[in-house]
Amino acid sequence: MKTFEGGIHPKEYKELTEDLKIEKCPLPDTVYLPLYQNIGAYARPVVKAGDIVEEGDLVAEADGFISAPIHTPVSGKIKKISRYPHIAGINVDTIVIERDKTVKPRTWERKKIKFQDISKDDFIKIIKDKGIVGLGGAGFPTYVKFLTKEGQKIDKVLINACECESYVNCDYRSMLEDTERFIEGMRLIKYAFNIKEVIIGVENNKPEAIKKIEEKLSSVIGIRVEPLKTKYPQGGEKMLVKALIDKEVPRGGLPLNVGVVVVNVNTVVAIANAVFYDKPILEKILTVSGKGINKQKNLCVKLGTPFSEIIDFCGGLNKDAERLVVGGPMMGIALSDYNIPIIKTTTGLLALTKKETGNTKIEPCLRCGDCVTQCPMGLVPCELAKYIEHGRVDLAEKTGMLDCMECGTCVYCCPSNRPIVQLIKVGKLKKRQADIQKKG
Amino acid sequence: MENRKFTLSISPHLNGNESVPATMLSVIIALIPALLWGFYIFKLPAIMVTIVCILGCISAEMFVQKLRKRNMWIIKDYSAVLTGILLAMVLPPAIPLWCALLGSWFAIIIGKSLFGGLGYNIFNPALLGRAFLQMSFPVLMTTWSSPVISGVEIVSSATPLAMGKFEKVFAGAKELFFGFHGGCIGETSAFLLLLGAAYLLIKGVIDLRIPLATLITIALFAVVFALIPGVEPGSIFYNWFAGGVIIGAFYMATDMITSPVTHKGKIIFGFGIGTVIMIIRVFGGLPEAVMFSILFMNGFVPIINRHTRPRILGTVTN
Repeated sequence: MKTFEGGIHPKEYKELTEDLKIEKCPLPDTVYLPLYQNIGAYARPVVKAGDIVEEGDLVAEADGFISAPIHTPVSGKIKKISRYPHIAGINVDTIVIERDKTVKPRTWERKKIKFQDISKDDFIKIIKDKGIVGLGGAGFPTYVKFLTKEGQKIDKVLINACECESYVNCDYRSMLEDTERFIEGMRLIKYAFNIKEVIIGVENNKPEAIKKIEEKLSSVIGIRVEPLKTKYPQGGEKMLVKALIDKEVPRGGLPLNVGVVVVNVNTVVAIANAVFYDKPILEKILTVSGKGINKQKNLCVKLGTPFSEIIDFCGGLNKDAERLVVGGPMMGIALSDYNIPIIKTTTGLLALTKKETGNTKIEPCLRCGDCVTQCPMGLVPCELAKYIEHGRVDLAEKTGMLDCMECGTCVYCCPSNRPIVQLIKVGKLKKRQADIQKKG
Repeated sequence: MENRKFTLSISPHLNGNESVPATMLSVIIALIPALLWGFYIFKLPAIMVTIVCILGCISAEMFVQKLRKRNMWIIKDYSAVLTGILLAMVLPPAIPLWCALLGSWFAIIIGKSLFGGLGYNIFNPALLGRAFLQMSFPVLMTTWSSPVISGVEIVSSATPLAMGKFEKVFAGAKELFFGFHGGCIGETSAFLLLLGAAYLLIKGVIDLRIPLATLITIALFAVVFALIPGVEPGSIFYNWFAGGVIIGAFYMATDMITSPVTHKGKIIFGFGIGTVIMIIRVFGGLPEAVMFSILFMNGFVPIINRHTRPRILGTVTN
């Protein structure tokens, strides 16, 4: 079984939602679309208060190279554009749209094209215009990943279907329920870029998905499934590349440097939607889980729906809910408030209880070296944390602070629960501030 | 929806079930079989020494915490108890109780607390306590009592190592391995110590690299030194199971706080311990050298760590 070096196997909690079909979450009356939906520059609004918009209309355009446009998921009237709380813990300019309840949701007709009709340039233009971003993590604009420089060639495309985070099942459910579209999307990419091989990396805790995709793929040449050992953080881009093709993405580089592009399952589905249905990203598949919520569900939610409405639809929180986390438990963001809207990169909403979050008592570092053994990047996390704790960000930087991808493996395996990755995040922030100051 | 308050924290939001007390406790559990064997063959004196060492370490820890105006109940993390047990296990059973008490105070106050307490000490506290006693009371520290085992005839009260060193009489394999011989309270039965070590390995508390590197190095030098005319290092088996090699390699050298964090570093550390043990045993003036070699290598840990960092992913050209 292929895998990478290091890593951990946290309790999965996948069983809470893995057999639940994706349900449609009721349409929200008001939609909040923050201009900050993904990594990169904020989008620039092209509408103003009072404008009438139809489902799928462009409301904000990309502003720069690493930026993506935003489309409205409902038909209605722009109420205002003002600052609202954002998942990232800051206030962000947000387009507020009041839904017109008289307008029926739009049906997206399939265009009469085949995947052979789409050229490389068409492909890039469509996914750029439809605001496709990586739906698994940070939300890197997908079209940028496919832009090759002189002399570069995309050799292989790796589909990230690991979903190594506990609880989250949205990629798994999409693979089971949207198999056709998922495969169509992969064939589209393969054809447009004349790619030798598409490899789907799936953790072996999803045998049903592996079986179903393999069945449907039987007649397709050049796309195959590769089961991977179930281990966190297998879904990290560098870990996936290492496991699947045994190459290392160079420091500070992109997978394209070793001739591959990594795309998430739901991103592939979104690409197929954009090309064949002309449909931008308007909704997200979301796993609502954790023992703190009354009914765990897999949901299809319109962008801009506040978490409070999702929680209500899932029967509300019970009294044990202690932490509200957006994303997976290892890298997700804790919310202080549930009146925050979902954005393109949201994959999960977890209401965690004390029992699930586990022992959080911080004790001195025992220098046991567990974090060194498990760090998938080959760092010495305990040492980095100590440097930063004592104000020596310079030493931390010399010993690889910037290589840390913040997966949190070190904290999970630490018997003393030292806030290692948290300190590294602080260190990175301090470095960024120092850099800004230096520039003057 | 009603207004509720949630815990705000930076990810990760899941934590493993490990904790410091659990780690310490599993080491204590692993030591119990060998300790009970020590009680069985050395009877009441061994039990008394152990009790005094544990109480001594606990009282010293509480005393220091009180002085530092910190929480005295830190002793609940079992680390002081573990130091006490480890110290008792490497003391001769006939040692006077006041001596054991002094040793345990030294171990905790000088060996651990002066450096900043749990996690900050450079040298293994239990071994530092023993080193202090060895330096201050050399006669008391080398007065051995005969083990009393019904049905087994014990030839001499001297430790197998002393016999080997000074009389060139090497003890047999079986009695060394199972512990039918004199020595410190807890070091006699290699078999029971290895049993406990297996438990720790399965639980993932200790890493095999340090003890393995130590044992392999010892074996290597046992073979190499035997080639030198006039030098009699004894067999590999003898060198492994006589004296404190097993307890040292599996329980003292693997002490997380005072051993390297990197894989390569652990191997170098074990190699260093094995080398120093064999050089002192064969060419030095002492019959036993496990304690000094571990303390010696403890001093090198920071420098070993610094020079054995793993390779960061992405720093090779494919």
